[in-house]
Parts: sequence; C-alpha cells; structure tokens
Amino acid sequence: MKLWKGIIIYAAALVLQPFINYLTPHTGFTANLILVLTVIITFIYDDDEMIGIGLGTVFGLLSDMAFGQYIGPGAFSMAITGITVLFLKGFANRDNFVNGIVLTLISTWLYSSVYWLIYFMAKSPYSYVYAMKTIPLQMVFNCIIGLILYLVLIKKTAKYRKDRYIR
Amino acid sequence: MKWIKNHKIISVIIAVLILSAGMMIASIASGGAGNGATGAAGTVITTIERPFSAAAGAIYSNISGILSYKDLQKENDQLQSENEKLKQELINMKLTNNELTELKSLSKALNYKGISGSSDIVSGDVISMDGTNWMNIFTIDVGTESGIKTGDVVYCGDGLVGRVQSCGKNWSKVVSIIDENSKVSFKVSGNLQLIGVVEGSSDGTLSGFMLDSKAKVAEGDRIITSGMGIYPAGIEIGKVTKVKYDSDEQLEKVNIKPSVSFATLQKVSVIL
Repeated sequence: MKLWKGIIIYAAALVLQPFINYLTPHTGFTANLILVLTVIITFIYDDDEMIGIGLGTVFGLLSDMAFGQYIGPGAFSMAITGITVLFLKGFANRDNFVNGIVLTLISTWLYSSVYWLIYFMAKSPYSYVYAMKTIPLQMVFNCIIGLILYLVLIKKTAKYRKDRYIR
Repeated sequence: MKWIKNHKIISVIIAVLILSAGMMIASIASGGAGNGATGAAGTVITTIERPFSAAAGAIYSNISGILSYKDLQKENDQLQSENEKLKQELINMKLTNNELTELKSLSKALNYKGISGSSDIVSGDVISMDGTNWMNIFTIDVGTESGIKTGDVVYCGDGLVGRVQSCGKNWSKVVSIIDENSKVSFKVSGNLQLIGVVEGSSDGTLSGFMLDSKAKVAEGDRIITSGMGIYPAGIEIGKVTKVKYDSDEQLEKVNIKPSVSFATLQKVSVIL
C-alpha cells in the first residue's frame, strides 16, 4: 500500500467515525474504524505491514487529540495492538478470512485492555470488568467492518487466493 | 542516522510514541485540559466531520421515523394529553400580576441575580464519543464562538450530564459526572433537607453518602443537584438504587443510577 493512499484511507476513517456512531445510536456501541484498519492492513500486507501500524499510531494520536479525555492512550494502544498482530500473523494463513476475524477479535480485546490500563494508571474510576462488558458487541461491529475491509483489500494483495481451493 | 533512513516508518512510530508519552503525561497532570495542539486538531477535525455527522443524523432520523411511525403517533398522542395537563398546571401555578410586580421590585431593590448568576443556554449535538465504548467522554459541536468556556455545566432533557473539560472554536469536550473525579452535592427530590455527596464508581454508576447518617433515604428516591459547587440547583442526577449503612465510616451510603444514558446521548445543552 502506498503511503498517500494509506493516509487518505485513515483520514476518511477518522472523519467517518462519528457517521458510524450516529447510525447505531441506541446501542451505545460502535466499531472502531482506525483499529480495524490497522489490524487488517497489518495482517494482509506483507511488504508494507508497518504502514498500518505507523498510520494507526499517528491517527490514534489525532483521535485522542480531538475526542479523548487524555492525549496518548489511543496511540499507545494502537501501536501495541498493531505490533501484536504483526507477531501473530506469522502463525496465521493470510488467505483465510477466518484468521482475519480472529485477529480482529483478539485486537479489540487487547486494544481495550491497554486503553483501560492507561486510564487505570491515570486514576480513572472504571473497573476492568465494567470496561470489558462492552467488548462483545464491539467485537461484533469490528468483525463486520473488518470482514468488509478484508474482502476489499485482499483482492489487491492476493489476486488468486481461492485458486487452490477451487481447482 | 543511517538506521533512521533505513527504517523510516519505525522511526516515525517511535517519534509519535515519544510525543504521545509527553502529551499524555502533560494531559493527565492537567486533568485533561487541552492545549494549543489539541485545540487546532479539534477545530480542524470538527469542521471537516460536522457535515458527515449532520448527514448521518438526518439519515438515521429519517429511517427510524419511517420504521417507527406507529410508535411516534402513539407518543404524539401521549405528549398532547400531557401538554394539556401541563398547561392547566401552569395556569394554576402562575403568580398573579400583582405578586409578580411586587417580586420584581423586591428583586431589584435587593439587587438579586439568581443562583447561578447566569441563565444563558447553548444547545449542541454530540458529534463523537471517545475511543472506547465504555467511557463517557464526548465532543459536541459548539465551542468558544458560542460563549462556552471550560467548566460550564452540561445537561440534557433527562438530567445532569457533566461539565466542559476543554473547548475550542467550534467544539467542546464534555466529561460526564461518572467520569469525573470531582464530587457532586445533591438533595433528595422528595425531601430537600436530605443532602449528600455523590461521585463516579467503578461500575459506571454513581455512589455517595448522605451528610446526615440518620437520613431516611429509600430506594427509588430521585436526587437532584443541591446548588453547592459548580452545578446549579434542581437538575436531576438519578435514582437511588441501593441504600446501606456503613458502620465503619458511620455513613449512610447510596448507589445511584444516572438518569442520563450517556452512551446514547445526541443533544445536550450548556449553561453559560
């Protein structure tokens, strides 16, 4: 993935995040577009995998600056999650979308846990159990967005990924 | 230098993380108050995303309006009958012209300015929540250009929401009462002599205690702000869900469910 393309995609995700929030207002939950982008790009790109982590960290910081209580937890959580995906992708077959979904599930939990840990150190009143109560539904939303992104982006990186199964 | 040239993206990530660490320490130390960088980022991002939020809001309300036509009609009938009752109540409660004139002249003579000293209100839409689904910090689309300043009280139709933590030209970050470390003084709605203090708890609700350990508070009692501190009097906070006497601290402890559903907020008002 070219850097400028990545910047446009991440900027669009940052701007469209409130749009997604608005479409599911009564649930109180929503997908984290920047997180899902970071996971899927890191997972399916072999040569430019660090672009996903780099842009995720930069846009995590921008997101914190615009919407967060403190500046920085989003950037750190995104970097740690991206590096974990980079490590885990060595054990997963990129051509199988199920692996993408599993990584999205793990990443959602990890991102929220790191985010909670930073806020806990900053004396936030929330308990870990309370923070994790919202995770299952967020996992569902992230997986739906992740699957769509996977199916769109995998065509760019593995053009004939189904060949071995079909023929 | 050679390593940086060969590992440009890794270098950027490390630089951003170092920058983030510095900004994080500064923002935590200042209690989340913004600075020039956050102000600029907030203004740019809010300006760009405001049309998208408005479009999404319009799409959602149109779709939900079509889908819930029957419910809306039913709600409309209920509201109309409620409106009639309220109109009747308003007539009953109105002061006579003479009494009002008398009070006005008395107020003028005493130079009385009211409890909060100001009653201007600005309404805004929630345009974004924070990066998690469990915290209750959100950004609204009104800021300093509407007269909002840090510390202003925010409420909605259901009750007290929180206060403005930081603001820029066309945005304000609002921190809810359950995210706050500061405490809110309250009165029990049924008996205004029962006063207590409430603060955020670990399970996303509110917990507090009564100043009088023998106060008779019951589950289901509604609590409102007492007017002490930054919050004006009379704004609903929530409902008492549990009352327990703590013999160690000799305090009547209460758990409160906030009347506002923070995760689904869309419109709020700010008291200037």
